[in-house]
Amino acid sequence: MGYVVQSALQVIPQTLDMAGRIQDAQRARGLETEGSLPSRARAYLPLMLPLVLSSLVATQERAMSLEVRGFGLPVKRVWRDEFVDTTTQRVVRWALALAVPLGIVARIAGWK
Amino acid sequence: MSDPALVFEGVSYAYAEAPREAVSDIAFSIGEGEWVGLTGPTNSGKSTLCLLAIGLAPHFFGGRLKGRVVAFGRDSRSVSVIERSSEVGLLFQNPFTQVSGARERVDEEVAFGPECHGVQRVEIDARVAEAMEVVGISHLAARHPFDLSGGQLQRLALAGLLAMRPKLLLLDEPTSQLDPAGTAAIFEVLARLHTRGTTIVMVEHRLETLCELCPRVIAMASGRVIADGTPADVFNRELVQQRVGMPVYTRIARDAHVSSPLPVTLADATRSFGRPVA
Repeated sequence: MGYVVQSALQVIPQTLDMAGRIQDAQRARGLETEGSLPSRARAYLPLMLPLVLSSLVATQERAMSLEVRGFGLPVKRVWRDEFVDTTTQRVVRWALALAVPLGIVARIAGWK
Repeated sequence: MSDPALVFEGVSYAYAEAPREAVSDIAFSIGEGEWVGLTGPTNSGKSTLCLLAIGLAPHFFGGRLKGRVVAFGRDSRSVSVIERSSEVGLLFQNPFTQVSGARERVDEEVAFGPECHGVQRVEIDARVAEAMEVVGISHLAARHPFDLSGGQLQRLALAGLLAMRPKLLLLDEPTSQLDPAGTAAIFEVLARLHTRGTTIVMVEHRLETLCELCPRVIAMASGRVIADGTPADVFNRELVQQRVGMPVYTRIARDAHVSSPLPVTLADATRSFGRPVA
């Protein structure tokens, strides 16, 4: 789950890059990408199909390369860098997490 | 005797919903420690062979598989890809889609595979250090994977595979998107791995490189193996010359009417041309 969120964020610059390249290629073939707002908006439509397709291809390749590295193997995963909290850190973490609902409850209960 | 690294027994395979077979009647055996070059025109089935060897076909792609693909004595049907990934590694063409995208440092990226395999942490550290050393990216350990150049990224992807200690390494046009320096770096790494005993199967279009590096070449066309042997043997065949082409040295020698067998490497060519031409 963490992987899904993190990798999605990391892929954004690559996708933007790809969009830029597709637009350059289309511009090179004479597509109007500048000028008035409507004409610029229209220029985005032909971008969509190649962008979606190339993202899908890239996603498939990534899925394959994850699989050949054993991602999803049903063994206990090992984390190379495990972050071990000190007792103080753990206490503070829980205290902060509890503070929010407690605060809300207190507020509703009419405490000022 | 130990099992051969990779055996194809009468293998035919068609992708799901494809009318034609991508590869037909493939049969060969690759012994441990061999370095085999796979070549042929686009769509001749080279990549499909790689996918079959690691099991992505049929496990990932579906499709219809006839015959048996056996790596280290185990049939690809009975082993999942992620299980097989500890023995067989596959490097793809595109360096940018092979980083996991979930790691923010190069060394963490290399550790990704062993982590998935549940390797002990001390062992992971050792493997990561070694893999980075072998491919020559140790000095980049603290960088972000996406800050690397294409060549560095491809070496990172290779290190990520090496960290899993595969006995058989499949490379599907590993240098097609790299510049000459990046390409040379990858081949240097492969030569080093070869001397260490890793079995290598490499798809390559540059025939000069192929003949220089690989003691054995398998040439394919239209999904079939059309020749299998030493580079000199393979590229002296008429059929291979027509369907696949030949190294530039061979072509020059043929045009200069050098007596056969025609040279396939620069060293051979120099020797041939050193003799008086008939």
